[in-house]
Amino acid sequence: MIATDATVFPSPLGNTSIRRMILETRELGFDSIVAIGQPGWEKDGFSVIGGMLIRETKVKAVINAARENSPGKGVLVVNAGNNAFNRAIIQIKGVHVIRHLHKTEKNSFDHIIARMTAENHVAIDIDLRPLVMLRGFWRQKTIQRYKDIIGLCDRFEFPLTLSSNARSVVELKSVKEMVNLAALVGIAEPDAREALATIKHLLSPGGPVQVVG
Amino acid sequence: MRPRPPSMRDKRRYVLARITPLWVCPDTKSLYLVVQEAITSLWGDVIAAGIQMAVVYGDNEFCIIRCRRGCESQLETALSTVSSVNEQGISVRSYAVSGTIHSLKQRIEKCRKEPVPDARELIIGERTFEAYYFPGQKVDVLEKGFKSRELLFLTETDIEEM
Repeated sequence: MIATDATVFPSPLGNTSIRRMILETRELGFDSIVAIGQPGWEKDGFSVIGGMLIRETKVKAVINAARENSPGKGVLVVNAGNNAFNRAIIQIKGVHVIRHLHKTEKNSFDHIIARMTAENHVAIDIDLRPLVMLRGFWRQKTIQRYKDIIGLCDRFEFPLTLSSNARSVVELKSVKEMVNLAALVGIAEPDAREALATIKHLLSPGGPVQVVG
Repeated sequence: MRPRPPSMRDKRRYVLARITPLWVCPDTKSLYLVVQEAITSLWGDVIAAGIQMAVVYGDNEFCIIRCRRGCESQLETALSTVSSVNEQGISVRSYAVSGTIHSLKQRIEKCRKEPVPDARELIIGERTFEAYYFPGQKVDVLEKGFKSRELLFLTETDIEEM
């Protein structure tokens, strides 16, 4: 089984060292994590995939970051913005994941961007942290936005990723917990397990058939 | 009042959950309150009433939570949304489900780690920390003091490299 937590923040961004993150996530059933601000490496069958998070709201910054992040170096994750910004970053080669769509305006991710996302093979991240940390109105709004995204995903079949966004050991979630939390926003178990394997597919996409010899 | 005959009683399930970090040691009442809050805020009063949750056992590492049969998955999902108790970050992860408390207690004995070790003093820079060493190279480091105590989750290798 391939299961990747699509975003974790080891120290210095969080209070847990990368080694401790590896010990804990391995116990929780994962075989890889995307660690923001860390280089990628592999040990005893567990891979740490380096991640670069872009919080800028300007497209130029994303283009520069995508240029720096040469192919195979790591996962480039970009925080979503308004409709025009999202439309622009989806077309940038090298952007792998767009996250925090629940924090943006409702029209920032429409059916046109959804189709472009599927065509460019960019994943949309479902951050499970707000489902755990928020209560009441704000959690309801988040679930509503996620359900809207899942509806578009069913139609256009763009890739999804699931992330705990953990900054600490106590915020990490097991594979089973992630599947349960994903069910809250309408992701069925097989789809949730597929979403956990998306990162590996994004980094090594299947190319066209080549004739050899 | 005479107890109901077994055939007329509600069928129950018991969920074994693991609490981390181990040194937090919440009492069963505080645990009950946070789990009940998590269930109510996630599923609403009607489903929370139907789940009939109760914390029937708790120690520093494990707790056993009772619910009505058929509501285990709702309880497990709600447990995933517990993030703190007494303003201390914790996680309550469901570990196993069974029809009897006895079988879960047997399971606890099988998978229990060593008891929480005594804290050792650790000095990093000019600050003093309490370090709890656990099996598997894990070390939880908690700053000594009263206000804004820093908490770090490290490994023995990290401490050697400091």
